[in-house]
Amino acid sequence: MSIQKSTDSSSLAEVIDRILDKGIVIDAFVRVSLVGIEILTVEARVVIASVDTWLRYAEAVGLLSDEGQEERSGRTKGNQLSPLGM
Amino acid sequence: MSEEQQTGIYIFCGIQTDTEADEQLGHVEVEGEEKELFTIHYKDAAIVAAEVPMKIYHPNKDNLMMHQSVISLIMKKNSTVIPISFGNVFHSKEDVKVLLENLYPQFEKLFPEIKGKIELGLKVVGKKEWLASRIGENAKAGEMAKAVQGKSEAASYYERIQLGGVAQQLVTSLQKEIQEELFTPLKEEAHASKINDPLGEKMLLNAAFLIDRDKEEEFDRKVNELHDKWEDKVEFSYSGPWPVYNFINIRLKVEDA
Repeated sequence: MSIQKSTDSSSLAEVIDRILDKGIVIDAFVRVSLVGIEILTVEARVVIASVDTWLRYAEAVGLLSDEGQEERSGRTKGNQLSPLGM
Repeated sequence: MSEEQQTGIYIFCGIQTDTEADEQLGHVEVEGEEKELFTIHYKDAAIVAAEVPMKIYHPNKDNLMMHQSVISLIMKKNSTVIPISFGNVFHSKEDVKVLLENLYPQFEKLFPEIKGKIELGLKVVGKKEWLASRIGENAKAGEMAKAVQGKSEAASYYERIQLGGVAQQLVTSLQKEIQEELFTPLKEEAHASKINDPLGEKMLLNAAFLIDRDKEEEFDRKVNELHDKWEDKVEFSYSGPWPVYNFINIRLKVEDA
């Protein structure tokens, strides 16, 4: 086999992608708070301004050099939102 | 444990079970303390739970993995598991029982649909070289890229935005292509399938499939065939078996009494 399945416990990103907002989801009562969320490694969840998105598309397909990329990612860091979105 | 410490009931998943008796489910370590798993029953349904200190559980790595590992463990013992999202703590077993009674009509319908089934995940990410070569075929994008070259980022700001727009269109069309070439044939092998939004700009497909446990190897083979065909262009990230998170969508609002 050329590609192996990663198991359900090996990837935090895959786990986050599922257990926070899928399955039976219950609002209210004791709900997780947004403070102290440790998902900084999950770059994909970063919410950024639309212009930045487009620039990132351009970078993604190799149209723009990577210069300035760091600056931009530095700027968007403060905008990290939790996947809970509530 | 201090006497004043209030406890609550943390819930993991729903299961179908014939027995009302407490099954030996095992233990879970919640923030360093070993807790016994137990079940709360209604008719042929039960919710798997643990008694834990009453507080807010933050979605940090340990807590997230704790939740997932319990459902994983239950899936090894039971073929009909309905996953519940992370972080739900109730005041008492009675509250959970009320919840289960209210959920039962849905559980009754879901049980036969998910019995013996698992979820498999497939994310497909375009390789940078392939994406670049595809956009190279686009004359308009090539011209625009040339116009930007050598200019400072500030001077070519609007051109860069336009260029980004063209690139985004290309990515969207590649996503469609990947859907037809990869998702469609896999969909035919699955009971159900779902496309989620891509995470990041290079992701071309983010899909989940509902598969009979017995058919898992067959599905693996199919994924591998497609991987062989596409490995120069894209990267596969194939994962599972998962609880069927992507195929259960029950939203509950619990109002304050």
